[in-house]
Amino acid sequence: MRPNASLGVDWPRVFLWATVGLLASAAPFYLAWAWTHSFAPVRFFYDYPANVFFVVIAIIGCWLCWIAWLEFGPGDLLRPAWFLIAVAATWQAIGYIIAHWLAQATWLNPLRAYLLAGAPRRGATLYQIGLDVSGTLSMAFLAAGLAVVLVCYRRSGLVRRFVAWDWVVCGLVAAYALHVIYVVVRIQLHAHAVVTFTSVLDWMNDPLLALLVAEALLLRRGVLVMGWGLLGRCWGAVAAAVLLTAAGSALMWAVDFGLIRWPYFSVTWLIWYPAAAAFAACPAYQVQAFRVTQRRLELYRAARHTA
Amino acid sequence: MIRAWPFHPRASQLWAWHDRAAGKASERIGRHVARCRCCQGRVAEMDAVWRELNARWSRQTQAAAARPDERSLLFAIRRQESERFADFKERWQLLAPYFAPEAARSLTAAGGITVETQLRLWLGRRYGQALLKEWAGR
Repeated sequence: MRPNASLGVDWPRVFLWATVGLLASAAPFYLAWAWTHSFAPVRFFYDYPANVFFVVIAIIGCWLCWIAWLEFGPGDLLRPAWFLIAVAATWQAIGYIIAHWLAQATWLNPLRAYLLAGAPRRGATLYQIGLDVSGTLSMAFLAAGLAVVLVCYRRSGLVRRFVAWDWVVCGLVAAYALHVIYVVVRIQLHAHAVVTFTSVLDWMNDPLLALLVAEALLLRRGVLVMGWGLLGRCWGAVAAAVLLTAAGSALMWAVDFGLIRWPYFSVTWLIWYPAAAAFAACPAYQVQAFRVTQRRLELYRAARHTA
Repeated sequence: MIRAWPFHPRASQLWAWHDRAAGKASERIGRHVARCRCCQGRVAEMDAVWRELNARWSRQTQAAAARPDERSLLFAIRRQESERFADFKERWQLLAPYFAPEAARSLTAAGGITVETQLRLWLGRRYGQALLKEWAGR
């Protein structure tokens, strides 16, 4: 019997190397931009390899989430958690397909002719819908799923209190979320702007991110106790995904406030790829834990038969 | 011969219980341990625990030699201690691929949450119970 025979594809490792490969492949495109002063090479990078990465990794992550959910039986505490996380991953995959494939006027897009023939806002509107679906809708389900995971951590005796640094990070994110709410309310009161479904989704984005950051920091504390096993890596990956998303948002705020200027802020876009890979790695580690268990069960049964 | 190495998450996949495969697995585990600082630490820790236990048993046996009436009692304690240590050592190993070894060991040693509860929570009842059942009847 060959060791590792039935463990299948090592998805976390695939995601790691795919991310490293993508980030390393960005360097020649940026160098070409610096050399030629033409943005076309960087645009090609984000239009093709980067968008393909987003879509493929989101679909695989979504598929792995549903596998993880199916492995838990009725009555298991983590079953509803994985259901909510799988719904979040499904929204994320749908959003990425819309924003990074169907809204882009690339040769890979079957709607390219539709986008180019219509008004220039057509692609931008579709892109915004994709971002709202993959952002706010996905985050709402993820926050609910992680809340159930935290209950599980609590029952395991693994939840630890925040340290001062955690409070600082949470405070910063919450302060920004409150600032955004204040700005939105002020605009609504003065300009009486039309409230649409997508605008409501936009407003919820930052408060949800603040909630997710708090959950991710609690998960991180639990993971530190749990150690670097398969389950620690699983929930550590989702905590890393949320914290990288928060870091990406913080960089966007820095751009909005003029702290990072063009062309330097284009480098900040690269943070979203490790975040997407980390989110997909979470179900991959849980599925790997199930495969290891199945393998152990096979070996125990084989040992009993040979004994 | 080492037949399983549950101390490290990646190396825990090298489990091999069949006699034919055991030699090969042992070689692979040996190669892994030779280059893995984390596993070398575990080996040193386990060796230290066994050395301490053996030294204590040796002292107790020597002391008992002077008082033969206590010898049987000391041997009973020694057997009990040995069983308890083996049981403890094995039970936390059930969690080893999923938790870091030191975390699995300290959590189960603390006694608050049992190995069964952890397995059922994190792997579900189906896998948790199957693993415990097969482990008990192996």
